[in-house]
Amino acid sequence: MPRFLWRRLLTTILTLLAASLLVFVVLNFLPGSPAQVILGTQATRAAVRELTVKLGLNQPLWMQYLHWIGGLLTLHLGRSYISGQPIAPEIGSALSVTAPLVLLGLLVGVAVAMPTGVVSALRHRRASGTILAAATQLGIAIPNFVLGILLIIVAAVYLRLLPASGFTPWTTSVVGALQSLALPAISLGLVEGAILSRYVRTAVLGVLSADYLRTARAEGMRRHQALLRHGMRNAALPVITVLGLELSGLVIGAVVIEAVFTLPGAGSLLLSSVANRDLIVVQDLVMLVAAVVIVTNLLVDIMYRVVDPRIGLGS
Amino acid sequence: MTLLTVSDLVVEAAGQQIIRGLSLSVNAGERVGLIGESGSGKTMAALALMGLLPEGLSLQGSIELEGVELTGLSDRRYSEIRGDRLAMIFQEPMTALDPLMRVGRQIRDAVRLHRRISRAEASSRMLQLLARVGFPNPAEQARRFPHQLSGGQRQRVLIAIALACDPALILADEPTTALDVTVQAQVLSLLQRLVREERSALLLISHDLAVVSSVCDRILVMYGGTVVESAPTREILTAPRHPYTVALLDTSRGISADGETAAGQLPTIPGAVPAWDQFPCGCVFRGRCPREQDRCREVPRLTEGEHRVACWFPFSSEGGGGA
Amino acid sequence: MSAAAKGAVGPSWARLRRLGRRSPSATFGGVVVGLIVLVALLALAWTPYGPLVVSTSKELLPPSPSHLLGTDEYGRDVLSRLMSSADLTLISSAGAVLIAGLVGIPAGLLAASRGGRLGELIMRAADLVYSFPALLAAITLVAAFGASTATATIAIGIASIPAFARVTRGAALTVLESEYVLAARAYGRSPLAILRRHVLPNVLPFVIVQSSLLLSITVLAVAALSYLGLGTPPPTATWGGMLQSAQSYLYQDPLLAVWPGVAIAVSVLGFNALGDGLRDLLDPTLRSGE
Repeated sequence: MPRFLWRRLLTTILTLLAASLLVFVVLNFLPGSPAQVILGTQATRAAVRELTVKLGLNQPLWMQYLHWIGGLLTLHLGRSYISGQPIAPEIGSALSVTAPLVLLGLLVGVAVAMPTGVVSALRHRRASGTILAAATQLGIAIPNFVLGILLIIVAAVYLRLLPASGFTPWTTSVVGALQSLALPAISLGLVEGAILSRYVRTAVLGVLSADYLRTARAEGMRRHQALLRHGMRNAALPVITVLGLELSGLVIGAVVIEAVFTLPGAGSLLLSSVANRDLIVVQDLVMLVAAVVIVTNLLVDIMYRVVDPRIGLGS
Repeated sequence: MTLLTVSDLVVEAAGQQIIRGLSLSVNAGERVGLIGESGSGKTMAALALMGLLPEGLSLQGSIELEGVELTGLSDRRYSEIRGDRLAMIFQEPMTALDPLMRVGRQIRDAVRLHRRISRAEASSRMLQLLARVGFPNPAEQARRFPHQLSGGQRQRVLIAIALACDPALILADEPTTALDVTVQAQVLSLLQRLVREERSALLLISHDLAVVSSVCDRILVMYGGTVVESAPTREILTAPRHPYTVALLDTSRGISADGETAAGQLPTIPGAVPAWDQFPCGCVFRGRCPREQDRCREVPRLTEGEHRVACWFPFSSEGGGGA
Repeated sequence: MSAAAKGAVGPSWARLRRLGRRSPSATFGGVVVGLIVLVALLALAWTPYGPLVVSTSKELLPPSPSHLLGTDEYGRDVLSRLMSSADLTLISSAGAVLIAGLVGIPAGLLAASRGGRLGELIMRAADLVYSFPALLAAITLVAAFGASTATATIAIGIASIPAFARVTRGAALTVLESEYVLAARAYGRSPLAILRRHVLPNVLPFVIVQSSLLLSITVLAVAALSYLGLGTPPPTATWGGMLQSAQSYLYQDPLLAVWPGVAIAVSVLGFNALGDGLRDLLDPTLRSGE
């Protein structure tokens, strides 16, 4: 394996470790013990102590940390302090909502960004291009949860096309699940698509004035031929670098969107755990999101080097 | 036999003329130099010939290549001619190649654009071209990316692309300006040799009199978007007639520093080339010309014959010009 | 060299101002932001009704001359609540940007001027914080310390530190590598003097642009947090909170959700346009640097 990959892998692992430490420290140096929080203020000292021992919270913090990390790596996440339910299946079922939501959002975003970005770049001297660019500017300004509520008003309240909230499980009906994800995915994807569209536009504009495109035209390529053959890959480069940013935007956007549409995903689980002070679940979920962001950055970095021979994987 | 005839070419941007009535002709196999300072409209003229003017510029006049009128041609028809009959080499070899594509493939693409041949045939043609432009081991070079090549090597690749389909005419816009001095001479002699072997005609555009006169049979002097003098290379060098040509020769002789110039001062042309929208009416050289008179308010036409000049008061044809 | 020095240091302020008139984006953003600030200032002194005044007889009224934007489910005047939450939004957003700037700018300067181990460490830390998006950081801190305006502001501020650190470091590096700083060093000027005389004036415009762009993000984050019930707790009026409670009445009174939504979108649009416009005016190369 090339040296770059080793180094990059190593820094990724170190970043993950540092992130887990950060999360652990923030959520464990709290006023009051979790046992006290769970049992309420009326609980006797003996009861609190008993629960503390039962949960392993009397161990030194570094032991608790190692225990937590070990659990994460082996997917033994333990049980919730509050509900007593095992955490892993709960997160698993939440992810069966969130992962498709994020992917659908990405799909919508790319489907919006590519044509609008390219067209507004190709027509940047004409009114249509300017209008498109202004529209994406507006799209960026509308937060996804505001857009979600507007979509509910239009599609669910007035047109009665799609459900305004709730989720039909995949096992019940795949079509029903897709229907309940439609509005959330559109709200999520449109906003990310507007952001991405502007990067696509800038990238295409840069390519349009590139000398190699003129060379291709001088060889006798038509404009669209030259753009397809030389423009696409070159324009993709800067877009790849923001894809990581986009994906983390989608993941965090999903947290809010799930609240808007009351979807039983990881975001809703996170919020209800915060409300219940179910800290171990919060800790797991925050770490999960951070890990997704960190690993995405790694993948984007590798992808960039695969596409661009000037940097390459070797150096 | 006349290959290219350009007559009364006008390029306008926002109502202002960048090229005002350019006329020139190039014969088959002839090497013609187009010389002028920066801002004289040389590059714009080349782009106009290629039909690749930037958006927003309008073009009038006539460009005839091998009997085909190019102006007003649809992009589809023009694209069939570009690269096939008419090729161009650009000034900046560092950016003129796609950085993400191996150079071999870029040459092969150029070959296949106008020739219905198999990929394998195109590849062997590509290797042949790489060898012709002086790469000792073409197969290895073909696998390189542009960033792995030097400026001179990249310009060789671009020359190979230009030669890909045996064009009748090659436009070379300052092909050596961006290169190191030592590499300049190599690339120039390569270009000269190849156009001779291929029997292509060459229109070499440069600000450098030395470059043009070493390669070309005939020189056109351009100023303010129009040709002010046109003559065989020898005559331009020994008996220039337009005051601008004379001044241009003086400055380049001054650089050769043979002790003639007083007190080590380099001779310069008084004033600077005006911005493209600020040329005077009448003769374009007005205001910088030592021989200016009232009549120069009218536009002088290019005279007929082998040695043409557009000036009301040219230097005599026998004399040594400005000496 | 002197030309480079002049071009880079002196007139960037004048340039900003002069070009400001020429950029529609910056002008538009400036006007919008100015209006929001005016409304917020006005709301400090006067709103049509008290934003917290409940009226049981006037619930969910449609817009009318006496209540221009209608009333909410407790009969509170929507316009007054919108106006009064402009204060909170601006203070909270600006507070977050301030926190981010106070930590991020010195960190970026340090990373640029020291380089080496320390610089590397600072930028690694920035990368680490960067893997916690503002909302996630806020949710974590709220889980630990409970929902409040202060928690939300601090959390968003911390999450925004890397953005400042990176921009500052980038801008400072270009200055530090320039010839006129090399010359200043050769004359024996102290690093602190170089920082003050050369680096800061050059970094400042970038910081201003970044602040404006960041404000659009913090406004959004503040609204999202209060929408999720993790920001300023009710009954205090917040745009996000108003949106959240209006969502229960979408079928009866959809307009109730539209007003706070528009307020959020317009503010984000304003800061965004201002930042974008300023950035394009400031330096086109900045765009390729992101």
